[in-house]
Amino acid sequence: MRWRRTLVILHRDVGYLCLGITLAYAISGVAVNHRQHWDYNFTTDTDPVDVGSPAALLGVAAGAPGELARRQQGALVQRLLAVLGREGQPQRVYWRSPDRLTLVFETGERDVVDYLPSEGRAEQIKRRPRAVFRQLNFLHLNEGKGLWTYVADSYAVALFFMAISGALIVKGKKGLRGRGGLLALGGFGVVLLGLLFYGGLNP
Amino acid sequence: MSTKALSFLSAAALLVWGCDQGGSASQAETPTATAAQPSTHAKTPPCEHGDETEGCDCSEEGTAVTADNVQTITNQEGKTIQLGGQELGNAEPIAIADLAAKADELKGKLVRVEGNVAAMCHHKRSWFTLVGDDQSGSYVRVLTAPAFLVPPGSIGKTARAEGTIDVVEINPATAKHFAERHKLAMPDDGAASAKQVVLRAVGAEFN
Repeated sequence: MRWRRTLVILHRDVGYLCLGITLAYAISGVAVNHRQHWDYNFTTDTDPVDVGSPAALLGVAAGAPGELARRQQGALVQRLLAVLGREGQPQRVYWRSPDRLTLVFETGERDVVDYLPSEGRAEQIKRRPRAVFRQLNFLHLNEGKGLWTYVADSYAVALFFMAISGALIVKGKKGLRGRGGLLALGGFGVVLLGLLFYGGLNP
Repeated sequence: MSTKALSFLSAAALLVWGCDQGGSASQAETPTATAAQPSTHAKTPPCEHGDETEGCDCSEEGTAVTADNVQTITNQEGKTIQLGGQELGNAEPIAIADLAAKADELKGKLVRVEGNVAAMCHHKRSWFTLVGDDQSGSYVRVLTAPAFLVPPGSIGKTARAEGTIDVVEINPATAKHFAERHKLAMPDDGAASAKQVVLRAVGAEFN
């Protein structure tokens, strides 16, 4: 039948059109699917450095580290910057917890130094976007909203078409009436089993 | 493009349009989130980090807010800020360091707190913590869901939030998660469960 030939042509052409976005969504999909294992958008590096107690940094007689750090916070911050080789002042300085003085150089935890007076240790924390994943997730999760919403909706329609047309273009015993039909049933069965097994039928 | 192909595509478009029209009626009964609507909910498992034993407490109500409900505005002082939820009113300001001591007295009361954003839930963005400038290291955890989602990258910014005070119980696994992942000091170390003062936010400004 001619409709089958038309379907093959459309399936092919729509397939090529969707190649880029399918690859993007597939990579992002795996990343987001494992969100319980990792932060799919950012990687956080924490580099601990032994810088010494507040007394050692300030060159004063030893005392209660927390109390000394608070009393001479300004001078302590400048000593920390010097020891860590940091140029420029932090945007903000505050106590994140009773034993953690936080110097924020860039918001979003992109560049933060935590100093723990009781341990004499500084932690240089840098949170960076994961190359490629961050960008693909941005699209996949529609963070930009706006026009991309309609682009993504159109892609969903295209995928729908690809699924239906793909099922119809092969005839005979390898098509829907034969092996293809069995495979399709198996695929639907996986969905049903997933819902049954994980309680998705009545979430 | 042949006539048959055009007919097929038209039929497919009609099918999709028809589904959309039929879906709109049921959406009135089953709320779903769109970018245009304020906080709406979709039920999800309580925690996307995995088992609750891993210490996740991101969404205590077991629901996910799927619309940010955050907008960029110019406040009365002429600053460009991000506003989550409702605009701030005239709630009584309370120092963060005083919250723990006055928790019972303040429970259920609408208050305002102000400070530095020290931590946030990166996965569901359903809470953040505020610490004051008083060097005490005291913090309050501000629960933003269902009112709004914490804007990404908020750690290190200053914020003001209004909401009602509550006291919640934190199990040891969650306390461990807060301490290790978010660097939060937890009260009553080693106790079977710890009590934590929280603010259930109705609105917050970030700058």
